[in-house]
Amino acid sequence: MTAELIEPVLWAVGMALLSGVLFTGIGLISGTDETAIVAPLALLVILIGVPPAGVLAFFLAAIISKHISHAVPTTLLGIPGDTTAVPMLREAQLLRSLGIPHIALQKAISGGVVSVAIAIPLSIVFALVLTPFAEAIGAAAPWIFIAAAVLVAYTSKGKLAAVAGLVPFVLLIVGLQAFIMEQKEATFTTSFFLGIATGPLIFDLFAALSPAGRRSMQQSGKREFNLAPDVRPAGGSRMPNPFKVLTGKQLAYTGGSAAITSATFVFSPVAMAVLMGEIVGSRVKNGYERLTTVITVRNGTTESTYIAETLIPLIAIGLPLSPMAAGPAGPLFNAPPVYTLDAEAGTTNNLHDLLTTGQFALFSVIAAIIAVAIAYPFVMTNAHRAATWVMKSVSHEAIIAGFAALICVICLYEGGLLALGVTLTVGLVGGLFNRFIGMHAGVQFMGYYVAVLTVPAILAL
Amino acid sequence: MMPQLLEVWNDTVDPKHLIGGIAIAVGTAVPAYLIADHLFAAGGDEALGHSYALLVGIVGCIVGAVISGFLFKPKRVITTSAADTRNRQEIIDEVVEEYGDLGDPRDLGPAVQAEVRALGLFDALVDNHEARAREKGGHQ
Repeated sequence: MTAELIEPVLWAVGMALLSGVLFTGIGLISGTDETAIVAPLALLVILIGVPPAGVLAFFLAAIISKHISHAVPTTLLGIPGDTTAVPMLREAQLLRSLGIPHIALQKAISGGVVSVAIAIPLSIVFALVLTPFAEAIGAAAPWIFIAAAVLVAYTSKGKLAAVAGLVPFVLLIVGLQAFIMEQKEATFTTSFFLGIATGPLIFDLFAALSPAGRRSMQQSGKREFNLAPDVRPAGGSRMPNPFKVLTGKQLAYTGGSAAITSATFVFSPVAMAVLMGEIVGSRVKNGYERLTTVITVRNGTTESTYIAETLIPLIAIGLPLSPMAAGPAGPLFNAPPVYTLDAEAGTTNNLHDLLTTGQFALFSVIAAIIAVAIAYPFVMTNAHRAATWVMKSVSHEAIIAGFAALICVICLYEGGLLALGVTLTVGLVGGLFNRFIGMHAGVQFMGYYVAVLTVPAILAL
Repeated sequence: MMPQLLEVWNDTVDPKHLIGGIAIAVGTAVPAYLIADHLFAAGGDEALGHSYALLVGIVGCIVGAVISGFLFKPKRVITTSAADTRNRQEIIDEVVEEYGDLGDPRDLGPAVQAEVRALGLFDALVDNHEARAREKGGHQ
């Protein structure tokens, strides 16, 4: 190893350790959506000046460890850990009713680990295949983004309403940007991102403030959670091994779907998890084996889609051309003043330009090994205790309070009270669109890029 | 009287505690950031100082969230239903009702058979499968 590599490697190791511990913990908390949690924290790491190696390792370790520990609330409590855990819920609940929640958990997280091992090298290979076309893709980017926005919108819960909803949403962003330009002679990015990512939270806080909104949010009492009993056989605390937990067939199906979903990086991770589960499920005859195999494959897919959708656009193109890259991984592409994406010139200055493909490979592998080494044994051996502790000790008020404060601080950092106003505006409108017309944050991120990339291109015609 | 509870961001909160928590966290983090930004700006390098101030603000967020975590306890009731006491067959029937037949574990490969045996589900699944096969036969 050359001397210049030592410092970035140390950054990668350090940030991966930090993020592995942090996100293994966050994953245990149910409903901690990736976009709302990972994007702001990744942004933070970039803004405080962590070098590229550390940023990449932080982000990858975050998604890898979170998609291992998110299986804990999903299998033990029957509440999805985050958005990508939703497709596993049915299998998790059925295995829980059979009295074997620990099997559901072990299979799911082992599938995740296998999938990580396959997705990282394959994503890099696919990125290399795509690299020769990067310039052409970059030149066509404004039109690709609008096509992607329409497609992502149409495949969301909102269908045509979400497609039509793009018009007011894009206009809102264009209008705000024009006003910001007039006032500050600069544009904002972060406050738009934060608004979109935390939209449902901001919307709920507004609704809770309004007497009319409060009525629809009332709860008759404390919510009941039914924690599955701890039924692990005693003495099973040796170092866990995913190759022993999964059968040969499960390894093959997980590996196969990880390979396929590493290539289909333009599709939504949730949709791919559902689809892979259906395809594999239709090929397994026995009911018991089908339940355990589908949950393995689905959790594996949450890892492979996230890794591929981050690494491929990052290495090959430098533009956030996947639902993941536009959403949770957005800051890796665009986080001014550190990483920038110049809409008019089509030039970028982000991780794509700052790291070579070899460095991407090295830091990704470091991040993956550390994240798996932290999250996998921890979840294997402590899932039940950890789930109990989180449910009994971590209040939702404290989580919301922390996020509200984080939004305020990051906005003040980007552009003072005006930025805070932008986040509140985008968050309220975005949250409303999200809740009532089924236009999720991914569609809105695409809408943001349509506003900054496609709209200027249309005006220039 | 029970305090009024609301569902905010997918979980239950007490609105008074929520306002208190946000006030504490924002009240800790924002002044921490503004003061740090002011001090670092006075100390020279503005861009770097701005980043350090952000870091101080983040620490403020964490401190604020931890304080509200200590003050306000979760509004959740955790029940740990000890292993289902009902008859195993009834439980399996319920699962089959929703999911379809779970199949005959004797058709499985040796590794999966061993797994099912270790879980103590083998005989129960065989019985359930046979009962279902008989029922089907009876209807035809």
